[in-house]
Amino acid sequence: MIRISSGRVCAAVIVALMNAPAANAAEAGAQGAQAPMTGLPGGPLLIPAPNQDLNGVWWAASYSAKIAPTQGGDLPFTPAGRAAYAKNVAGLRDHAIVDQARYTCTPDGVPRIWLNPYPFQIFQTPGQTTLIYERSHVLRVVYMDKELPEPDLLEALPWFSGHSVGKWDGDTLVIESAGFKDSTFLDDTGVPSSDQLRTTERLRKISVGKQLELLVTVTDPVMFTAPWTAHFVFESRPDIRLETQVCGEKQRDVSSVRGAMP
Amino acid sequence: MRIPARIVLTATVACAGHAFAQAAPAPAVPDLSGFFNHNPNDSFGSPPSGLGPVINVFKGRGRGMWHGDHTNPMLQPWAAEVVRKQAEMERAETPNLTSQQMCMPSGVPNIHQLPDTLQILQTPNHVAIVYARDHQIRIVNLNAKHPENLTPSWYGDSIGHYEGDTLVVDTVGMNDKTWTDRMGTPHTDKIHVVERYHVINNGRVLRADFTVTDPGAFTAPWSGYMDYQRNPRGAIDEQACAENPRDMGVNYPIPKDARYAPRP
Repeated sequence: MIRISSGRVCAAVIVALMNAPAANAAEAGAQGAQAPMTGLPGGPLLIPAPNQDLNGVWWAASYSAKIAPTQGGDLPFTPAGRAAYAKNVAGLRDHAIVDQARYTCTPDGVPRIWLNPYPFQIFQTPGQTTLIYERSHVLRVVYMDKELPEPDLLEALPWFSGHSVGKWDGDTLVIESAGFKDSTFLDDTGVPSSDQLRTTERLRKISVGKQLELLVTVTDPVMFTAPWTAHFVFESRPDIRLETQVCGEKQRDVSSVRGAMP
Repeated sequence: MRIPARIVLTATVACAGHAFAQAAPAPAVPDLSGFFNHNPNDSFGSPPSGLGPVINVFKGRGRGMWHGDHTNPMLQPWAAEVVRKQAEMERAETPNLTSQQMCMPSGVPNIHQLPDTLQILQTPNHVAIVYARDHQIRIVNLNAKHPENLTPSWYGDSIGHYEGDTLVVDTVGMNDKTWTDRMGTPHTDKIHVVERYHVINNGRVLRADFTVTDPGAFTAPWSGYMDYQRNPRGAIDEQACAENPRDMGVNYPIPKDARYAPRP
């Protein structure tokens, strides 16, 4: 099963050659009593092709509390979804419902984590893409060399951020996630989700690499009659460094982000 | 076996049709990839000579588990008094909680006391050290400078570079809310930590040597280290401390409101 492009194979081969000293150590050590242990096969660094190089800091230029489908109009709620949304909106207003992600800083989940007005950073290493968000120091590990866990495990061990695997479709990183906790909202207004939630995120660089475009497709047959997609654009910001965010404390100034609360 | 340059060249040329060939060659960097952890009860190791960390003098008798040696000569008098009091509270089983027990960031070098798995992510311009425990994260900017004006923060500002087989991380700009170690040794926001990460013992151990300077709390710079065992089955699974507070078997529970009380 070959899913990676030949460009990726070339990248892998060359990186492996450049990490040859590690292989030398392995050979030398194998003759000793204990075989040496190393990290990733091929070394620690992944040098992506320029069109697949998403490494670095990205930051939204605008913020909206409400998630909007690209096709316009309302989200395609099922009757149960509409009722759950109305309950969340009312509960958040009169504090009958606590927004756990903001009050105890549990991870936002997908796609809500993309709505926030704080920057995030992508780390591409062999076999793994890691998404680090300033918001509540959310950490998402996307396995590039694995399939999603079996449905039994996804059901038994749901995560706020879901379980994620990724693969490349040309210049687009496609992340499939499932196994979410049903307690996360899908946006900052309280759009509900169930444990049937699945998301597909398609990330690619646009504007000569100055921007990152994201399309998130949300599927949740309990809450929605059909899959829907939301669109986001982030700016490349090599000039800033992520801060450690702890809820309840003073955060980064986000007044430069359109629509963000001061 | 050295890879002859012509083989690298051949591979490069063979790939010339791909965008990759335009990428800058990968610099040789030490391989710190993989997963590492240490026993939750491990204390900082002491250097062969010179000033070292506060030692846990708990001998497995009496109460509490972490009795810091407040007679360590690197402690300024006020810091020694804080260590003495914390040990006293340990014995009374009413110690101040560690930041980790309250699901707060740990600071450096205290983060080396975190139990559970860490992973080092190396990219050309950055290194991230990610910890499974409450998804703590440190980001190191390679070959960069500290900003001129830093607002003190939990992990401060970290810059780094490679020296041979070692990743050197320089951290300043930390706030004074964290301890320096598990025994409650305090520090001020003048703390400056230099860490040196390298693998030893045939790749089985990740050693983090560190030197701590803080004219606000210590009489002179002192050094210590933490050894992490390589864990080939390691993974950074999701842990949300706020949702699932645990006290790692210490005999005092986390107060129910430790996390949930709104902070100013």
